[in-house]
Amino acid sequence: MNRFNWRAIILGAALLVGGSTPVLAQNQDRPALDAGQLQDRLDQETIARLMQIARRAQQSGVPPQLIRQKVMEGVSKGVRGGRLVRAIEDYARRLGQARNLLGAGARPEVLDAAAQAAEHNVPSSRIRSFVAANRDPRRAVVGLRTIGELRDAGVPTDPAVRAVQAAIDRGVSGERLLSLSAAVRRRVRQGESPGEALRAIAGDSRPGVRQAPSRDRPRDRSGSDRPRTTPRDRG
Amino acid sequence: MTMDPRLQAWLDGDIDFEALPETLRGEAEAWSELLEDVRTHAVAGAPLGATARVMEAVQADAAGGAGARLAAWTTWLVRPRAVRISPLAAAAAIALVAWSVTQFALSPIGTGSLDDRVYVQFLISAPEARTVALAGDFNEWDPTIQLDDPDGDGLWSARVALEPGVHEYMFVIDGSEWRPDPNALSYTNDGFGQQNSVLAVTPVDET
Repeated sequence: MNRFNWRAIILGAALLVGGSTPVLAQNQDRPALDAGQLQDRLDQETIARLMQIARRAQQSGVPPQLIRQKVMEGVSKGVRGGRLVRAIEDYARRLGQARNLLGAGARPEVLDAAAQAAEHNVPSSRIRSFVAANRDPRRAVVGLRTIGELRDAGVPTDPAVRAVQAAIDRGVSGERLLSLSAAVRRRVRQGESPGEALRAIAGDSRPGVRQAPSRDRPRDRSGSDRPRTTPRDRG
Repeated sequence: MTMDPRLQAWLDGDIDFEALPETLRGEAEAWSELLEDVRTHAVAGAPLGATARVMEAVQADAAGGAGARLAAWTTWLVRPRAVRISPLAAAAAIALVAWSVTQFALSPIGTGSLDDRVYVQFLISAPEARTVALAGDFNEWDPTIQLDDPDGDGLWSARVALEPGVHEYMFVIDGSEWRPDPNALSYTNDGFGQQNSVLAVTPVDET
């Protein structure tokens, strides 16, 4: 390669670094919370403590928008003072753990879903392997949430992960996946064990085992006469 | 005009200068000076692609009419050519492309393109309510999306464009009572002692 091309490459690299650094730093350097936005809704001490939590979380690699979002949620819902601080502190701690588990490349929504799954006692190793197996963040998010909800309904980790992964591999929609835990809970209320309920609904997803038909298998919600929130069409 | 064959033979290098008769040597020296002059001053050849352009022009002229002009345009469009660009301009172009890519890859939650959005119909039965609003992670939990009950039957609804993905939301009754969607697919602990409703929005091309 001649000198002309080397010079162009060096110049390009220098401009790229110079141009993209502010973009890369945008998420990390922007303050997680805007004190002015909270000024007329919270007392100064609460704001100071929240700013401190947000700053610490940001320094440990937690995306600031997640903390901001949760603070705004709490403020809008009228949560104040120590209760708000404790909730945000707990959320930031769980996000920090998820960040350590999944690394710097994890998208904010995946970190949030991983933190929720961990809260439902899904082991770290299973969270990590599930995210590694589902590179599409939308699938990872809906999958982790469903596994967490299934754990919360009493389903052991292994069958929960297996059933969710099998459903994702079959192309089951996010809506139907999310409805899985509600269907399990219904059957549990009727006396089945959580594991049995999941097997009956999702089928046994172990290799070589055929899926059993079930009237409770998650399906589209058409046919219900109750008012429901429903995705309609493209915007 | 014809050239003496002996002078031609000397120019071709077939015979030595001394072999020329005296009468031709003056003319031979003049040729020699002329050739030296050409060798000294003609340092550059024809411009790059000149032959091809001349031939195109000749062919187009020969063909004539709209067809010829179209052929000339087509040739102009598809013919490879050397583009001269300064190293600074090339580097700036590369940096601009790379910057655009990083901008796209690092776009935070909630900045997807409008084309990806899916309209979601939110519905809740609240006959006792005077106002019903919607708040969620899609509007920073600011209950500004108002639901309507045009016929006063207590069934409130709003149509909202959301990006594909999982969203958490709640209804706000009369400006103060936060209520989960009784018909949500799933619920999650909000960390403040309540349950958020959870909704999964699937892209239209995946439904």
